[in-house]
Parts: sequence; structure tokens; C-alpha cells
Amino acid sequence: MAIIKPLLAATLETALNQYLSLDEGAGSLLEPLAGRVIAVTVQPFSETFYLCPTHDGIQILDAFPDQPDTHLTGSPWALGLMGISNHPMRALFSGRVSIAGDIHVGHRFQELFAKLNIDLEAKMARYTGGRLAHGLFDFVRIGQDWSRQTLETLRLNTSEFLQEETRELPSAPELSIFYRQVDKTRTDYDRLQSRVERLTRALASASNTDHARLP
Amino acid sequence: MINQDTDNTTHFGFKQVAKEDKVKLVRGVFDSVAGQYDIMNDLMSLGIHRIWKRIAVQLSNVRKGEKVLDLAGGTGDLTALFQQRVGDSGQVILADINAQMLHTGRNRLIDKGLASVRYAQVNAECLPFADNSFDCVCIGFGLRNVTDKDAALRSMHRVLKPGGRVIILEFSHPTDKLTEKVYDFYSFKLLPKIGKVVAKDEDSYRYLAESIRMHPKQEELKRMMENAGLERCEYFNMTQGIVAVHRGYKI
Repeated sequence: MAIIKPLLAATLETALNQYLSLDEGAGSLLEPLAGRVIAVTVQPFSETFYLCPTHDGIQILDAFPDQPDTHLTGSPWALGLMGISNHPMRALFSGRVSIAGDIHVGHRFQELFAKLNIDLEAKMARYTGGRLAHGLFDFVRIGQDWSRQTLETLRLNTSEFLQEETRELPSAPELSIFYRQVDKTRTDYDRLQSRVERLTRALASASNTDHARLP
Repeated sequence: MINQDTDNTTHFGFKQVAKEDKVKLVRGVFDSVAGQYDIMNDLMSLGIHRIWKRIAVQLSNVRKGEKVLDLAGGTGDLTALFQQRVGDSGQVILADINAQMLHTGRNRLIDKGLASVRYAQVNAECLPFADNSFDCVCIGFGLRNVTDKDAALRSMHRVLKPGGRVIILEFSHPTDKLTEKVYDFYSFKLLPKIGKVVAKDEDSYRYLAESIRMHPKQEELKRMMENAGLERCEYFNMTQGIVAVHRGYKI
């Protein structure tokens, strides 16, 4: 029998609880889920893990003899995206993740991760002191800002090059005018088509009336 | 069972002894090693016994608030791990047939601050608990010392609640020839010598090696569990089968 699954469950459980312990308010988020069982089946391996939230953590089981409250099925990628996405229901409606049982519990479980508020700087300050932690996280923040700005500049430069210099692509205002003109043409066409239909109907009814008047 | 015991005798290591004497002889072994038990465990398994125990507890799928019976609990390693999982709303009972081991285990757990654990000196063959009392019954490195293993398994099944599970963590039989050779050399040549130096007791550690060889193989123990009424029985080999965890449910 494979020992991998229970080992994986134990490792996941430790990692998940370490992660949850980073937020001191995680208990209040876990409270409404305590005692529920959420089964997660990972495709294409068809392996199921059972997540049992308690008041202070989540226990992961490799087998559960009863019926779970909620059953989520999907690929690791889709399930992971659902956990961190701002629009988790998209994964459900697109069919990448299927849910069975109590949907409310599944939604609450997803909310748990969305609402976690982890202050890594404060955690690190406990071990390194506030000054070093602040300095390090300032460095990380500056790095993030720099990356964001660099990517934005690259995006603007590329679009300017393609739109203004090589004229390969139209600019946004030109495109907007073009779309407006297409919309106007479509509306004009619809209006003309309705008028032609109305005239055709009027001609047909006039011709019927003339035939009826003949002796 | 290997070399199935005749009516009035059973094995004690490689020797045949009267059934009523085995309990006394096993007690003698554990009375002798109780003080050095933890050090010897670490030395003999190079510390791997801690991983085996963690995996066994993970396989028990014990949840917060559940009630666990840790049979042959000895110095309480498994009990401490179970107590972490069941929390304050659950309960763990550390049980052992040997008063000396139980005493050592109780002192150790109290020193660790685990005051909510309960203790019971019991014989696994006739457990003094009501039917359907426990969510999990675990016996770690203890079943091979039990005289009537079938009676012990039946008794465990009786005290389990429906949906509850039995976990048996026990030395077993290597799954390949090379491991078997190395393991035989280690357990028959080296182990008694280590026992002689550390615990000043060569014979007890020779008994340990012999009793492991006399213990039923993985498939055989699985069949014994099924005969006792347990269902969905399965086993998980660890360290090439040197140790195995058997799991069965009462449905």
C-alpha cells in the first residue's frame, strides 16, 4: 500500500497550519467551519484528501468513513486558482472545479484564505528586531514598486512603438472612433431593414385591398 | 500465525514456553529495560522510530474531540502525539500491561505538561472498557508481545465505535532480500551488543530480535484483523517493510 498519500497529508497539514498561524485572527475565520469536513479530489490522480477545520487549525485526513459536508473536485491548478482568485466562482461556472454537497461550506472555506491577513513584517520583527525587519520589507516593497513601474513603462513604450512609430496598430482613440462608426452603420442598417419590411407589408396590404374592390 | 502455538504453549522469542509464563517473561523484559527504553529506541532505530510513530498517528485519521486508546503505550510517545491531535475536547488513555512502563510513561507525560491523559493497566486480550467506547485503538510495538493476538484483536474491535479504526504499528518483515540480510545481521549481531552496553541487558534485546521474527507477516496479520471483524483492512510498509502500519475499520 502506498505510504505517499498519508505522508503528503501530514506535510500539507503542517504547512497549512504554519501558514494559518501567521494570522493571529485565523481562529475567528475557522470558527464557523469547525467540525465540518471538506473533501478535495485532485484530478487527474483521483486522490481525495479530507480537510477538517477545527477552532485553531485544519487537520488533513487521507480517509474518512462518513459523508463529507462538501466535495470539491478539480486539477491542482484550478483548485489553487480558486483559493487565491478574487473571482472564485468563475472556476466553478467554467467547469474547471466541481462542487457537491453544502455549497455554503465550500464558499466559507474559500473565504477563509481570502480574508487571512498576514503581517509578515511583524512576524519577522520578533526574531530580527523591528529595525532590520522594517529595512528588509522596505527593500522588498521598493523592489515590488520598481518591478511594477518597469512593467508599466515597458507596456507603454511597446504600445507607443507599435501605434505611433511603426503604425502597425491603431491607437486607442482611433479604435474607439472606428468601433463607434461600426455601431452606427449596424444601427443604420437595422433601421433601413425595418423600414423596407414595413414598406413591403404596406404594399402587400394595398394590393390585396385593390383586388377585393374588383367586381 | 507462524508456528501456530500448540494448546498450552506459545513462543517467547525462538523458545516455546507455557502460555501462562509468557506474560511473566515479557513483563520481566520490560521491567528490565523500562529505564533505558527511550535511549535504546533512538539508538536501535537511529531516531527513525519518531517518523514511524508520526506516520502511524497520521494514518489513524484521528480528529479533534475524539477518544483514543493507546495500548502497550509504554513511555507515551504515541500518546503525546495523539493528545496533540484530539486537543482538550478529546481524550487519550495510555494503557500498558506493565506497571513499570506505565509509571515511566506517566512521569514523562506529566513532565511534558500533558495532564489530561488518563492511565490504565490493562491486558489487551480482555480490555476492561465498554463496547463502542473509542474512535481509535492503537497498539504500537506491542502486539508481538501479546500471548493471544486473536483475542486482543477481537477485544480491540469490541471497544471500537462504529466507524472507528484500529492502528497496529509493529516491526514486520523486509520486502527485499538485501534489506533482510542487512537487517538480520544488525538485529542478531549488533543489537544485543548495543543492549549489553547501553541497557546492560543482552538477553532482552536478543528477545526483541527473535520476537520480531516470530511476529506474523504483513498479509497474515491483515487476515487476522479481518477474522477479528475489522473491515477495509490495509497495511503500509515503512523502511522496506522493517516496520508496517496496519489499519482496519469497524463498520
